[in-house]
Amino acid sequence: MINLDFDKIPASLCVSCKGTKMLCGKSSCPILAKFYSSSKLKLDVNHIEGSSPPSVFVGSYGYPKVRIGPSLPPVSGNTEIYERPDLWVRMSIDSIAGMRLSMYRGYKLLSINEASSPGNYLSEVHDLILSSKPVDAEIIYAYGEKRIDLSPETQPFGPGGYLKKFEHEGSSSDSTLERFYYDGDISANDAVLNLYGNTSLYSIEKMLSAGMLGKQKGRRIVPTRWSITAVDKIVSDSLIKEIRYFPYLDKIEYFHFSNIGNDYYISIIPGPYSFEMMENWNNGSIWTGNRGNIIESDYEDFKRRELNPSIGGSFFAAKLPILDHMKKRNIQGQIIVSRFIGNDYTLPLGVWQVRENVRAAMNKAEGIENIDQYFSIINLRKGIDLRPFSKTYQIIKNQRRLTDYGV
Amino acid sequence: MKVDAKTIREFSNIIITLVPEARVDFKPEGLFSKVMDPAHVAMIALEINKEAFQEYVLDGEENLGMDIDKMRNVLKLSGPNDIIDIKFDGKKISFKLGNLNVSTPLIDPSSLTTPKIPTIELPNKIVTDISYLSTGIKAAEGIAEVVTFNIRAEELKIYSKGETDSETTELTIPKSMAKEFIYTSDARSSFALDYLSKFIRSLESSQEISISVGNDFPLRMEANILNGKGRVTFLLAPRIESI
Repeated sequence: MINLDFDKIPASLCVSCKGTKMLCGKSSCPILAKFYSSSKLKLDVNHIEGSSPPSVFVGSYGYPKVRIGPSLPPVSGNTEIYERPDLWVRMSIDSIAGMRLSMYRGYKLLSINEASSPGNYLSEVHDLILSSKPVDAEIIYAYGEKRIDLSPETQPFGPGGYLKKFEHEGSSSDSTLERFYYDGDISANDAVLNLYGNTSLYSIEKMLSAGMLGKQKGRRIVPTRWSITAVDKIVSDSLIKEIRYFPYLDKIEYFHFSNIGNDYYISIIPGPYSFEMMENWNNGSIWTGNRGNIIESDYEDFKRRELNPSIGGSFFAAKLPILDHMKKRNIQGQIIVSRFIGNDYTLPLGVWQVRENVRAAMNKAEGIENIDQYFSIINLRKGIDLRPFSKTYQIIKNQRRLTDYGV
Repeated sequence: MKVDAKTIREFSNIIITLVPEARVDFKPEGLFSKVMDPAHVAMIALEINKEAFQEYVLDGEENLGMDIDKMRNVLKLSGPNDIIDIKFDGKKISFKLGNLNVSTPLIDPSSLTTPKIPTIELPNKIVTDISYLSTGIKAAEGIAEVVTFNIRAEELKIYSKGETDSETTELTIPKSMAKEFIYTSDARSSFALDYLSKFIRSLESSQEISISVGNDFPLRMEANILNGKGRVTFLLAPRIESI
């Protein structure tokens, strides 16, 4: 439980900022700083040896000149799980955080355009990302100083510093990734769509981020947090185009899944595609502290797509697994996701958490009577009536049925 | 029975706007189907006279549960003027196209509910060229999810509003352009556009359409299809705008 010593900052500001925009005017987020100071990370290291899963991190600070480089834990062997959030669904928050915060980063400062004709260093990083398995590598730091970068979209990374030298063993490349890396004629969009379903989503994010996809001349390095949302968006947009021609789901369905301090209540309602997500940060949760609870919500339909949701990247991360689910079942519907973030979600772990937990929720559909029952389940279990916050609810209530006229 | 592919294609295109499976009643005078979408917002009643068929031989009356989605896959293999020979027994329906034979399983018709058509009295009716209506709907599709029908003594207006007040579409059909114009009182109702667009798009062979509008009340549209050898009725419940 956090004891905030900055009660004058309104909780709503922290919920919209989530440590990324520095809306409070401080140079670094006081909430995150507190976590790092308590994480006992070893900062005075001048070299790290271990197996990179493989992993790359690109910061957004200083854009369009960005810090890019490899990341690895001081562990040798099969470290694949460090970069596979889809396999973390049953892990505790402490073990995920412990694992991820040990991913030390080395970086150099490169212009984002360098990806269109990569020099030696960037080619080394690309070579690492293409590897089909973890690669033994070594980071030698140039200075003692280390940076902490954390964003609510990205899975946590460990401390990072400028590289003096980066070395890694040779390793065989993944042939699927390689095919799109060497295809300089296909657009990044098409490359992402072709890769989706044929490799881990997390490998696609890394390739897009390191500037390894797209028409050669247009390739750019993309900060990790932007690449995550970009991949979710590219795939979702393509799925929505297909789904809007699918028949409506035949009856209302309800899904629930709870994991690492996050509680998801989802409903799909017969009707034309729409997606709404509400996030409720409990009083006592990471971004609110003890300043009361905050609800934020975003809504989109086919015509008016939400491009800049107030809830951030989790909007896109929750949408993707539900669209995948609809595609598989050949249905469309009106989607509502209500996410409750509890006090035991002590560190923002990244939007993979939303994506994978919502995906897990999709495994079990239950029939319910109507949309009011969905909201009363939430009210019963969470003690809050979300109906006034839900645009989908208003729309459904305004939509009359022919049965109202005596069919 | 024998029928050209484009007739059966139009039939399936209309039904599929609301449901992927439907109960179809084959009666001596022709084929009938009534379907309602799962959200109970829209309904279609469709009939095709036996004159639309090249050959229509029936032993009494048959109620079939048809998988319209699968049937459309079969139709994709045919050209518009190909003659399809349709046969059914209790379990399956077979389509013969030239020397190709495809059969798909039938669904138990009792598992498919047939809605009753509500008796809805509407005070105003306009019969017009379907192309006017579809232009108004297509324009609205670009910016909105909801479209409003507003009838007054001299005209029917079909309009929509986008995200801002400056983004609007409005189609006016004056009385003079209508084939028939029955006006009782001013009326306005709004509707979810998705249902309308899909329905209008599915009507390939209609020239004219009749539109009946009430005040915050269901919309009824009726049109002849297949050169008068068939008829479709569409009902759509309104969306009440809370403004």
